[in-house]
Amino acid sequence: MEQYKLFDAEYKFASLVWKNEPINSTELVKLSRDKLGWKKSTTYTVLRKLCERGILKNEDATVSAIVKKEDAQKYESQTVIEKVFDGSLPQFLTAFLGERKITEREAEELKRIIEEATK
Amino acid sequence: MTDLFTAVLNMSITASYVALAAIAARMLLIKAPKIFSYVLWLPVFIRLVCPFSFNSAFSFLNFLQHNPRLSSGAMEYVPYNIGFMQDPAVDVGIGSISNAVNSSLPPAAPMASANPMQVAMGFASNVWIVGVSLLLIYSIVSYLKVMDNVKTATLVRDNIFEADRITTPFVCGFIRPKIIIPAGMSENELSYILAHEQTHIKRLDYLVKPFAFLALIFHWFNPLMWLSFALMSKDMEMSCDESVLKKLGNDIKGSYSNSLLSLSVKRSGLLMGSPLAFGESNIKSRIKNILAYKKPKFWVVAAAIVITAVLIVSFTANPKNEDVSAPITYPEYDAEVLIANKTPYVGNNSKVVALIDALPLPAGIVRGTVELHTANQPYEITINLVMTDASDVTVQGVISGDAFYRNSILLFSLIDNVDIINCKISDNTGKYDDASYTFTYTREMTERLIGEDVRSYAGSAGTLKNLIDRLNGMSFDAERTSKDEQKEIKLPDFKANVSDPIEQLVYDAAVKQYSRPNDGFTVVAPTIFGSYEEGNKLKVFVTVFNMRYRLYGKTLSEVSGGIVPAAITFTKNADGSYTLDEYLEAMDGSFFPKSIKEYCVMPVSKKEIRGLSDKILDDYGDHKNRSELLMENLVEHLKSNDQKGIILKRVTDELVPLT
Repeated sequence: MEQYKLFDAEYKFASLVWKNEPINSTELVKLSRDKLGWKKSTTYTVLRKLCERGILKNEDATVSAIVKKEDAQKYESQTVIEKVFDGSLPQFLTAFLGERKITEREAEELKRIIEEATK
Repeated sequence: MTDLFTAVLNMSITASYVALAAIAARMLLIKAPKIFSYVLWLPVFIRLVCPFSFNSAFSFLNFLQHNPRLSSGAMEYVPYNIGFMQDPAVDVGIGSISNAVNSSLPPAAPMASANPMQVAMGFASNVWIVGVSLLLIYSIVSYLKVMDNVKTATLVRDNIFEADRITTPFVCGFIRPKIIIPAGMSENELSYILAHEQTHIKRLDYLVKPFAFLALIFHWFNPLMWLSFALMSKDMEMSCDESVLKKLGNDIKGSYSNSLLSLSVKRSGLLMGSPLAFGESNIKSRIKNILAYKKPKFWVVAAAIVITAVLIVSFTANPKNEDVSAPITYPEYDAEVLIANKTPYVGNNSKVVALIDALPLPAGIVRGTVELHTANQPYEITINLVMTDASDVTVQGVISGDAFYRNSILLFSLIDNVDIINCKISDNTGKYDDASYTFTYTREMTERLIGEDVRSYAGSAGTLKNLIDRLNGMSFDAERTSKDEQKEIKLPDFKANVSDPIEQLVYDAAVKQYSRPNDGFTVVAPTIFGSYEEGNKLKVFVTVFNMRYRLYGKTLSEVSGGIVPAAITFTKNADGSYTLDEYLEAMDGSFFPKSIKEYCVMPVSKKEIRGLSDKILDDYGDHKNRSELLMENLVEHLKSNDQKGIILKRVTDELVPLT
């Protein structure tokens, strides 16, 4: 059986559909606003994308799932595709500000410092 | 655009001093809560965005050796007219730095159509605006990308959203800020991170950072501001950490540090080894700061408040303007009013009188009637002046006529066709036996004194101010006597004798172009960039250094001149000789490059000659060879006219022995 990988937000959105299907799309917008804090346009954008990928379907303003919950899987949040940005500032700036990744040795050292200080 | 750039440059210099002081003050406040270091960046920001400030004797900038000019509340190190100054000079307030900078600034080429400094400032401001634009576009694109990515962030509670394609929590949005956290954080980690981010929101840090960054974009050329921004960000984070600890108690130190650490370990390795990263990583110093945090003692806080308040005021204030009253012999001229009444004709009664009235008179002297002699040349103005009070007169140098000479030079500059100005002073006080003195000044005298046609200064209020500044520093008596005693020896214009027929044509055309037999003799030095024949036309592209001289006894003085690129077109006659058709000069100032590009075309077909205008413009940066050629031609000319032992007195008063 083929596995469908979904991003966190997509998975949460699909979960709403699995729980309530079949659901009227206006209802779905309301539900997304309450549960996910999404604007109407965001809901429709994500819905369109998931329909295009054959995960959900929207027929006559009624949304239902094509892929079953058991066949879908969330992306591990750490195996992120490509980090486009970091925080609210341009990337070169965060690099400049010294917010770089720390090395393993540094991390170990810091861990030791924290332990010592809070003994 | 150059003015805007100059304004930014001036703000940047002040801000640099304040930033250096803030960095020093941070060391002083190292034991104090970080909030104090954080607010110290406020004056730096104010200096970056606001050119004006109040004056105070408390200003830290009083340490500057001589106060930079304070024009209407703004510090001015780099003058706005730097592009037009004879010797461009900045005054950053510390002598040795100013000298080092000034020695690297190119002096004005008085004869050239565009000063090197003017060109340099124009170029620099273009580079600046390109940098600003690129950074703005980059930032806006980055911001929009962020917005697009967090659009699908899902609600956790209140204003907290989680998103899975980020690795670090942050605050987003301007009006109703949201906290965006990476999806899948443990509840334990979350509580500290949320406390941290909520503190940022409460203190409006999410607004501070973008505005500080915007200021940084406009000052991108100043490395100190980048450093300041980095340090400010660090202080912001650390003081935010401290207020979390203050709120949640010292016991959470360990777990708070651990959440920070685990977040930063999770980061992707993309940024690793970035050449821009410096010092110990932020996270290390933050964790150390958290672990070392103790609730500050009362007296530490009290002392820090006092110190910080004093520093902020002194960083923000401009130095007290110790108004050195202008010397009495240098009265204030209003260049704007003078320029407004500039006139080509001495016959324009109302403008001429307005000009005379705009010029200051020494105390105790009032203006009587003004006579305009316009029937035939030379055109004269006679200003009748009445002395009503003799007490100050001798002190102020009226008797020597300096004030009148200064005024007359300005009139020669602003009234195109006046040749002679008489200042007739009659005594009405009885003290000098009703004597009357007349000071007569001629345009010729003025030009000898100034070394060039003073009308060239009447272009704008800015250039006129340069003339006023020059007059201010001038001694008149010495100049007058040394030159007037010598009788002028009239010499013909330069006659070249070269083997290349085209070069000979150019010499003859250029001498003809610049010759003014009544006003000295002309010598030229052309650089030829190429000659193009098409049909019966010949077009030669040149840059000509022309100069008119007058010889008084053994002293040669420069009357006026210029370095002007030109296109000279000739027609070839049936017998093989050439007749001059047109001598087309490049235009002045900002039209300069464009006008050259326009005439760099073939004589008949008007087809563009590629690369030619660039060649001419590149060459225009350096006039050394032309100056040497001019000197050679001048010496040759003097020799062929049997003039020996001649000394050239330059505009700059430099004496050059020639033959």
